[in-house]
Amino acid sequence: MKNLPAFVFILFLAILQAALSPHFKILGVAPNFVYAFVVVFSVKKSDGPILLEAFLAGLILDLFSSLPMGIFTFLLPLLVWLIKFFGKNIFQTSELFGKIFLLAASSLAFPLFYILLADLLQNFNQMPEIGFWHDFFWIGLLEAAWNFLLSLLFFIMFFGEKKAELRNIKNGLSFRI
Amino acid sequence: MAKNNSRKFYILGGIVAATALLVFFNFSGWFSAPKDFVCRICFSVSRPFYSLGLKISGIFHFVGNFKDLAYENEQLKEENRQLTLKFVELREVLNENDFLSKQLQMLPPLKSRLIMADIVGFNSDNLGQLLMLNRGANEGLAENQAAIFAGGLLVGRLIKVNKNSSQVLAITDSKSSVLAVTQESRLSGVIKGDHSAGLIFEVASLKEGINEGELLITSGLDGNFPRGLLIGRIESKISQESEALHRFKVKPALNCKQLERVFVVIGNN
Repeated sequence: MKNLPAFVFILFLAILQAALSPHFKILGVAPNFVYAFVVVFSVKKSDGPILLEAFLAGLILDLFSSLPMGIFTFLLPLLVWLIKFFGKNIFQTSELFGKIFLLAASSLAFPLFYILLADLLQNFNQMPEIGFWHDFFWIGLLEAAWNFLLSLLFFIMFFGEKKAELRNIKNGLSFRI
Repeated sequence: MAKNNSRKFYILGGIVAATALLVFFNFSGWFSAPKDFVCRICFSVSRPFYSLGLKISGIFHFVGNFKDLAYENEQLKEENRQLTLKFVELREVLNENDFLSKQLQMLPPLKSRLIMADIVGFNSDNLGQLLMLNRGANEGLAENQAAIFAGGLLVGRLIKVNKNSSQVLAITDSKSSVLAVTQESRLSGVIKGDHSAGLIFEVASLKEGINEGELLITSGLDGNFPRGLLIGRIESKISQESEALHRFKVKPALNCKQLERVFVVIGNN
């Protein structure tokens, strides 16, 4: 029940994604609001279950997607799990830089994985004709860039990144939050 | 710590299992009722946001193209004059056609029913071009029916129909293919989506040349689309002379992203 506000917000973002983002595509590609929120949420939130939120976010994305059911439902929890794994085992010392690196890496991994999965499943019914390399270079890389920028924006907006921490990025310091 | 890690593995395993179940339910059709329920809720909320986005992007488009407006206005006036002349000519041909049909006692063309549906959104990913409609099987919509815009412009065809919502595959989607014919040279071919960038017209044999600017209409031979729906205009040839298949770049007659509603053609067959 305590996760209800997050679910409602994810649903709201999914609606915005379907209704608003097509009108504001840059170079034919729109960022993914739902992905950005879930990833920032998992990067910032040090404990507690985020996998369930990611699962539901993926499910909602799948409902509005042109790809076969299950791709985002599978991918978002997997990404969240990987973020938690790498966040705990590799990026402990320089946490803020580590978090930004994680945002960048997951922004690249998200389109890479979903285009790859869609490519593997393309023999199933009613989905776009996909050439993996074509779509990854022309759509995936751009989407990764927009998603990273949007994630950074969410990182600062919704999760109150402290000014002192941002100042420390400028000074090139690294420390634990 | 180890207990916590194993718990997370269990959760992840559970999610993978749930996803596999979802995929199975979806293929077997058991998932359609809850999907329709969620879509119904979401689409009732998304409609105002879609209209808002349309208005804002319209403002940006207007500001971006302000310089060209005077020139475009003159062009449209000229086109309007030409069309009026053509309309008068066609009206005469129509009357003559009616008269001859009666003389020959031919059957009248099949009457189609049109159902109006609001576009409430697009697909959430960047790979395809799907339009979400707020009408579904309850209103008589079914898969493979044609979605058109007022005046007989082809938008796409229905590929998924729930009880109260449906999805249209736009003709500009790379999965879409429509049998078409050029209006003047009467060459038949296939119109395919070009990764959302436009349309490609493919013709196997080119007995006559195709003029640039020639209109393309549906041939109606595929059974999904009524004959005579406007698709677009030939822009240029993109294939080499040595290629077996002649390919032409086509400018779509309408931009799907600027539409607020479409009509679904019911009872064409």
